[in-house]
Amino acid sequence: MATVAIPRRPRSARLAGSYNARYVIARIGQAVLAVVLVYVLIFIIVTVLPGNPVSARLRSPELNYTEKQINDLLAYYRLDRPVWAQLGYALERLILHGDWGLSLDAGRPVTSVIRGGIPSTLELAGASFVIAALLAFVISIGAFYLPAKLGGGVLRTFPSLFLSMPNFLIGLVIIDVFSFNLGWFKITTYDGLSALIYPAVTLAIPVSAPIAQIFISALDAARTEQYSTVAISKGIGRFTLLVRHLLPNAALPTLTITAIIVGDLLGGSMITEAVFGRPGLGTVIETAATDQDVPVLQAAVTLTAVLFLVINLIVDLIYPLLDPRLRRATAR
Amino acid sequence: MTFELDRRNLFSLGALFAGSGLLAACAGASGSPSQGTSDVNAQPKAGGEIFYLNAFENAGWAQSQVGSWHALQVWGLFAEYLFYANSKTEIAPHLATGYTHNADFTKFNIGIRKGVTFSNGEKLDAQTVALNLNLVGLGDSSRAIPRVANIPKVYKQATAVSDYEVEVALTDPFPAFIQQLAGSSNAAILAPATIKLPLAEQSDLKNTFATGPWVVESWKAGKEVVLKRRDDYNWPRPDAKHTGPAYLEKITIQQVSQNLLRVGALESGQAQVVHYTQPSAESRLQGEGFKIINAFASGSVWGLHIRVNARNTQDVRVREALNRAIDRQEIINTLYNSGWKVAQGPVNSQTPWAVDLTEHFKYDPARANRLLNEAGWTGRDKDGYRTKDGETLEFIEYPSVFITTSRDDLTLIAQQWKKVGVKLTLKNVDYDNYNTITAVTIKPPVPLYEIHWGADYPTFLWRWWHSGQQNQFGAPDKELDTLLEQVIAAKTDAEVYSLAKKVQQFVIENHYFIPVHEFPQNFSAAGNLKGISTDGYPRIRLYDAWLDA
Repeated sequence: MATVAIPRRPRSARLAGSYNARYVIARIGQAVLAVVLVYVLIFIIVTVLPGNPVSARLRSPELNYTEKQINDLLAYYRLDRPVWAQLGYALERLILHGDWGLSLDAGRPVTSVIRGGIPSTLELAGASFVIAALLAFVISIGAFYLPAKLGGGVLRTFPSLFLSMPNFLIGLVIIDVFSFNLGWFKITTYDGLSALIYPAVTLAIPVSAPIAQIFISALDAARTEQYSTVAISKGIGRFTLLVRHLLPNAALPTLTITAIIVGDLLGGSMITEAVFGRPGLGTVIETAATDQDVPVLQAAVTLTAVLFLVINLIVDLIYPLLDPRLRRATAR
Repeated sequence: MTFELDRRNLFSLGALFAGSGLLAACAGASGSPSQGTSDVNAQPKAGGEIFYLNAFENAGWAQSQVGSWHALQVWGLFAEYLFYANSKTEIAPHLATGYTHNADFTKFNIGIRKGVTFSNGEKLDAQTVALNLNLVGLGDSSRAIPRVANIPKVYKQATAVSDYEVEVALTDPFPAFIQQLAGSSNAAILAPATIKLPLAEQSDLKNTFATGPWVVESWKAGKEVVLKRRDDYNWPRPDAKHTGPAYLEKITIQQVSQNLLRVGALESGQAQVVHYTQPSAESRLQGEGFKIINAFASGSVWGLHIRVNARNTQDVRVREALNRAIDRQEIINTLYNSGWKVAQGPVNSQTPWAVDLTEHFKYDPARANRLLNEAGWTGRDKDGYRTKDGETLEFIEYPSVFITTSRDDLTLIAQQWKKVGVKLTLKNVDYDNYNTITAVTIKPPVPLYEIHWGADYPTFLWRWWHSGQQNQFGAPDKELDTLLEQVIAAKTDAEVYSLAKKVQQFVIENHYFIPVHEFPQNFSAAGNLKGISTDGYPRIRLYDAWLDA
């Protein structure tokens, strides 16, 4: 990689420009390529695999279609053409018109089906993420600092306990206790804060577990490092030690796991949305998968891939800001 | 997703996780706000809003998508039909005034009710009905709109012969055309503004204009449909208890897919009507003052087709043994309650053309064992299942994805068959692949296929069993085909009914069919929701329903 000379600039500007433009472009390029590959791969899988879902659906004896009607409908969905022609048409439609086609199940445009689910899922995933991060932080700090007698040991078992609790079971218990028995919220309401908070907690509990696990072990590891020993021997306070030495060093592995957690959030949102009856992207994907609604599935999986890659891209770009060693490496 | 837990099991699990103290404290708060202390003579009151919880809700609502038991209940609240089946399963006119036909049943003239309007202001007349019938009978491949499968393929064309009379022409005689039309849930009459739209826009409920007592106020795909009362409505069915607008001002239909959550919502007063209550919860609900509606109507029992093109199903002795090895009363006692009934033949006993054939398939394990021995299945494998030439006598089945009780039924049947040495293996399949994988044309054929379908009229037997139609037994039987052809050709109800009985007798005597128990559409409702009923389809009726404060 070519070296880019970094002129002296104010600190903030130096931070932002501290990695090579080529590093950023390469990362973005990789992400775009991955999205295209995901789209094409899904297209090929669903088109080439035996048992075309549309014709299978049309040939169900229940529908009683004539061969001509079946052929007409296949022609309507352009399924009578070769795979490459279908792919070409799908890409042309997508790139030129932003049109993902028609949902086989809903009969509505795919964009409208997907768009209907996005805000609710982002809301749920966002809220869960914040709750999970807070929960993980509190558990980790508690487990790290509290003596075993005062519950520190018990707190250390929380991540494994949370991880072993199935999402739907947490949801059902929360609904039974807080909705049916205490009447604090109604499962028939799916808008507003109360409709968000309970599913968000449900989703956050298992999601917080890996974050807390990594954070606790990263804190443990950082404390045994020489710089900690030196800092402690210099008489540094516990709080200062945490903020100045332990947290920055434990942040990197935690950030990595946080990026991976996005996948858990999306997967978990499917189950949480199903249990709480929240209409969202998870429900859309679940229905599309069970109904073999290929156009919707294709759009939803591509969108998920984009989301996943964007988050990972952001994390990749944050690393150098957190770790001066990476900053130097990427600037080289 | 199917993770079903009984509500009481959930409580014990909840206690495990959340601490029994908390839940014990909460238990007192549980209750039924709507006890059934009904005043029978109370006067209906207009107004109020109810929540109706569905196990599954559509993502799109073009009329071709409303055939499932889940969807047709909702569709029937705001869309109306030319003819319907009343609670005695008699066909009666609603948006029609009646019909006549020519001597050879190739022309049907349908009178149309006057003074009816769609919710967008358009008028119901012969023109709009003809437009509807042609879409229903022929479909429109240029818009990917399928024809309605239950309408006979002999449908040719409908034309308006006057302002309020439509003539339907068929290419060949089909005496039961009107009955077949009345029995098709996706043949409601919609406004021209709706049916002229492309499929994508018809799937959007905000474009659905119909003639019912409620209109769609808003909807959310796969989640919710909100209906509001239509204040100028004044053309109820003849079987309604009042005229004018409906009483309930607003109905919110929501999907809650978990059985126990639907029941929990009903018990905690968050919902007033619930579709598909698990039978195990019914007795408890009844004890708490809720109404249980098990609407047994004209149509098939819950049973199994034996596909005679599958392996080891050709021998009638084996088929009879399968039938005789099922203790139906034990199934009712174990899985259901006193509101459910064992089957007496292929169709529910309420069906006007039902015939009691119990003698032919009465539980008789000794006879089943003898028949299987005679058929040569005399060996035994290490698990005790019968074998012949080293092959185990095994059948596979895919429990239905359209109802919520199949798996329990089949699990118990597997235990009962094991007693006579027959192995029943249950397999899983997802919602959409179910139809494909159980299709009669699939190779190798599945040996058993469930049925739980409505049938207003015996012509539906022809639809299911004729080798040129759905061919559910998997192999053409000339004698059966001839009988079924006679059913659709017969010209009077009496003639059709008597032939329909012969058909039932034939399929039972030949053990093509395993009847198990009668199959209702079931609902549970809050005690203070009065006037709720079902018709002969059965569809739920809320037009006369009202909330007693």
